[in-house]
Amino acid sequence: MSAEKQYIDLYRSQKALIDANSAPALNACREEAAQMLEREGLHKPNDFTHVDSEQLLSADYLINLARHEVPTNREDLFTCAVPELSTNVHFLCNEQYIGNTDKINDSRFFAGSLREFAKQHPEIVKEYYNRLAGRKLDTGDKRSSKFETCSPGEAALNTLLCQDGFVLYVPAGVEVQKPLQLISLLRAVDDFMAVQRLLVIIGDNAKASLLVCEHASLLPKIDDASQFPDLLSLQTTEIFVGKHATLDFYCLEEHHEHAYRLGQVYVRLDEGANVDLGEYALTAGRTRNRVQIELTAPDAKIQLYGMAALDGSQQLDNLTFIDHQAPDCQSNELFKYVLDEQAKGSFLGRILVRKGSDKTDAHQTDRNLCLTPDTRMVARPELEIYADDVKCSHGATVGQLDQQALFYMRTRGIPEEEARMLLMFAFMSDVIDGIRIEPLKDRLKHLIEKRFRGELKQQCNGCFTR
Amino acid sequence: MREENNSEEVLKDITSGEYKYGFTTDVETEVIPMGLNEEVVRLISQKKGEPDWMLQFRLDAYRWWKEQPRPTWGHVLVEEVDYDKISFYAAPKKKTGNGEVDPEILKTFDKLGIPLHERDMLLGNAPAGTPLDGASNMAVDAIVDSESQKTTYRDKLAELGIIFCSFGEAVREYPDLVRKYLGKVVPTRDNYYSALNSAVFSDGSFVYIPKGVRCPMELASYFRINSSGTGQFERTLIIADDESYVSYLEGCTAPMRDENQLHAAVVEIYVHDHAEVKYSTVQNWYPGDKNGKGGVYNLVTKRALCAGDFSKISWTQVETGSAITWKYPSCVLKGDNSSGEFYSVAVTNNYQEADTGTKMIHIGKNSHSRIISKGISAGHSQNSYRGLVKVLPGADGVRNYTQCDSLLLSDTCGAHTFPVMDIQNPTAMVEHEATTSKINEQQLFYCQQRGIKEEDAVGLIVGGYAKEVVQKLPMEFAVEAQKLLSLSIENSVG
Repeated sequence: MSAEKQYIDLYRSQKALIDANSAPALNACREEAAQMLEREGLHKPNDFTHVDSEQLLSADYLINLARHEVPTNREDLFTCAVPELSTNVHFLCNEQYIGNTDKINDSRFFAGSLREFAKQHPEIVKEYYNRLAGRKLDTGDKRSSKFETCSPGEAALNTLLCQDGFVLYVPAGVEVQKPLQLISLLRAVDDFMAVQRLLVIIGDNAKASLLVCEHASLLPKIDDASQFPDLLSLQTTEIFVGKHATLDFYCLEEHHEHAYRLGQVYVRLDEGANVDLGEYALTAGRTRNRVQIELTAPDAKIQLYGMAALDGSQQLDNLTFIDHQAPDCQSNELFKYVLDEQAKGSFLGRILVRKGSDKTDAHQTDRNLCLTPDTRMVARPELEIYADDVKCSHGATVGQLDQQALFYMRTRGIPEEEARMLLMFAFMSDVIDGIRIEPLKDRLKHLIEKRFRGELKQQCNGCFTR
Repeated sequence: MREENNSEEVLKDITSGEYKYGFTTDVETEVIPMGLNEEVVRLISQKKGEPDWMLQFRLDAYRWWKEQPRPTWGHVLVEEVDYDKISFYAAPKKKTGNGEVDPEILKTFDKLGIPLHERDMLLGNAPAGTPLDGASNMAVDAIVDSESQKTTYRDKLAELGIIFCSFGEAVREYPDLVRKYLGKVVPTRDNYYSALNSAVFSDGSFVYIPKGVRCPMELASYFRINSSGTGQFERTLIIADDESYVSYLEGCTAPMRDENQLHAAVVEIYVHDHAEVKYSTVQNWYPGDKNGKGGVYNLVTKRALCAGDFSKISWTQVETGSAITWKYPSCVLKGDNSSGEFYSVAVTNNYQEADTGTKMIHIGKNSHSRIISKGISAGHSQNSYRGLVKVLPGADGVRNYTQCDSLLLSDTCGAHTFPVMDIQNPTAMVEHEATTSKINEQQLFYCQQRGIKEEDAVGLIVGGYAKEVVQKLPMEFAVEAQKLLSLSIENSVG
């Protein structure tokens, strides 16, 4: 039986249980999602990505449909907050929202459980939930690139089984001063799939910053202590940014080799909206990020950053799609990879400028460093342009550290290893420099340094297995 | 004085607008019945008097092709081709018994500016009787529909051991050479259209440059589709033996017809140690009328294998014609220190659609490649660059530079780039850059300020934009290409 069929059967047989542990506004979308999943399927073969989503999704996972209690002792669970970043921290364990450290309850906006929010404000959820993920984008031209950046099938599977998650709702005119931090932990003692959902709604003229930190615990399997369970996180994030609103959304991934992530981020920007979106992978297991950004009205602006430092047998695919639907919009995309040992990376970036989207300014850059002969990098930047008064460019490079620069530093007495480190930090620095939260910038630089020195792994293992 | 006349002529050419090679030649043509089946394949082979291995090669290709679905991944809208409505073999009947070319065809080539008399120079710019200067001459293989008509300078080339003849003759006279190299660079089962070509190809050019020989003149093939309801499937095979050099040119035109005509060619180039091949194309098939009716479907497979160390291949193409272009001249850089170059200008206007680019497959150590692609789209056309740079694990020290720029001349056209880089060796340095923009308004304004009409200014700017590629063409072709460029973008401003 196909994986799609299995999931649909699971839904049909467990419908009562799934619905009972969720909210009506979320349940309302499931039937449509089942049809979408059946129609679109989960797997579309293509030669340019490494992560085998078909294999990942057809494995036998436990799914916490009955919403069994997870331990809620947060101090035990989470130790990896970003220091000195005076944030309001929210916690998500697998897909379940388990509270926050917010002492002053600011009632001007809502940050918390998706399930609770859907119960309290079904009308808002109805207006936004699954509006971006639940549809296939029509690119308006029959010839259009046959390559699909987003997977409607995977999004439908998420909608089909999603019961909880995190929501940030900032009504029009509200400026949230303090950055919010969402720490999301994958934690299980058997092969497990977490169906995670994030919904971010920023009203007109509103402002907010959200930092998502993804971690995975490394606990031995319950029935075989010599093995670690496979953890899969199936994520869908929908972001709506209203007129002249500003959002900073950064996602920091620290996973291990047994953690897999299939994530899709959908963003819709209204007139004059300004969004900073970053995907930073310090360590990954096998990760595929798909990002779809729609610039729907004039003067919208998006900065999209991506960074990946991979080693071992880690694999990471970034698939991005920026859709310029209106004139006078700007997009700027910068992705950097450092691949070591047997790591594999791919970057597929597509920019579409539709008819009439004049004065578009779209730039894309992808730079990659391969450090060993066993690494593999695939870059596929695409420009598809149907308007004439535009400025668009893309640049992509794959190479190694500059031998001349290395030599220069060594002649000045810097040991080779140190010189290599310096060059790698320098290589990564411009992805980080764009970040609009100062303390996060410093923290990230610190983490990257640790990452390249190989100190991160030990610390993280220590931190999560205690 | 002559110079003045010349520029006058150029101006006249430019302003005459429409496709000027659209006439037909009235010669008696032998056309086989329409449709494609095994019998047709056998018939073509029989007509050409081929040996059995050649027939088997064709049949193998045909049987595989029959089972394949038509590829649809290109950024073009190709209408389903009805293979039952195409005749796969058409050849002008030779009127005179002594093997001379039909005077009508000679006239046709005269009209096209292609010298089939061994003393003329291309473009007819030189007054008749200009003394023969070997270096500036070129040898021409002229092909109408399915048959090669004449190959000039054969004897002179033969003195150096160079073989330049039609493909049909090569199969008869040099079967061992043909058999050794045919299908080695583009295997029969490479893709849908190469398989179709392998099954039904009728003629083409064959070139062999022996060891250590530098070909003293440009070799050229000129293709013309004349009959209606036919397709052209030519096959070109170029072999450059150790330390040899050849520059090869290819040109093509077709009459104006309302139907879409199919052109599915295969070009194979095999380059040995230290040899160099330069392949230039000025493609000017009939592009269809202003409303997108008619035009040639140009679906070709071109590939060069740099098999030897220090071998070199350079592709230069100026693509202005065809309703649909689907073409990726590629380089397989197998030899160590081999190098591949690709220079392309693709212009699309009205309802033309082009999906073109290259593949650079790096297998040999220290192999390097360079890609310069310039796309110009106007009218309602769609122009795409599609390219692959692949570095295999054993290829240390690879260097690639890719630049693909697009220029947009109207708000109803499209310009797209689809490059792929697949890097499996950390010592590779691979760079890709692409830009897409409108014609620079400041430059345009500057020209207009100085009294240059907008249309001419656009021509100037486009000429400058394409210069990097056009200057790689041999001199004779460069002049033609420059004129073609101006012609193609005419009336497209605004």
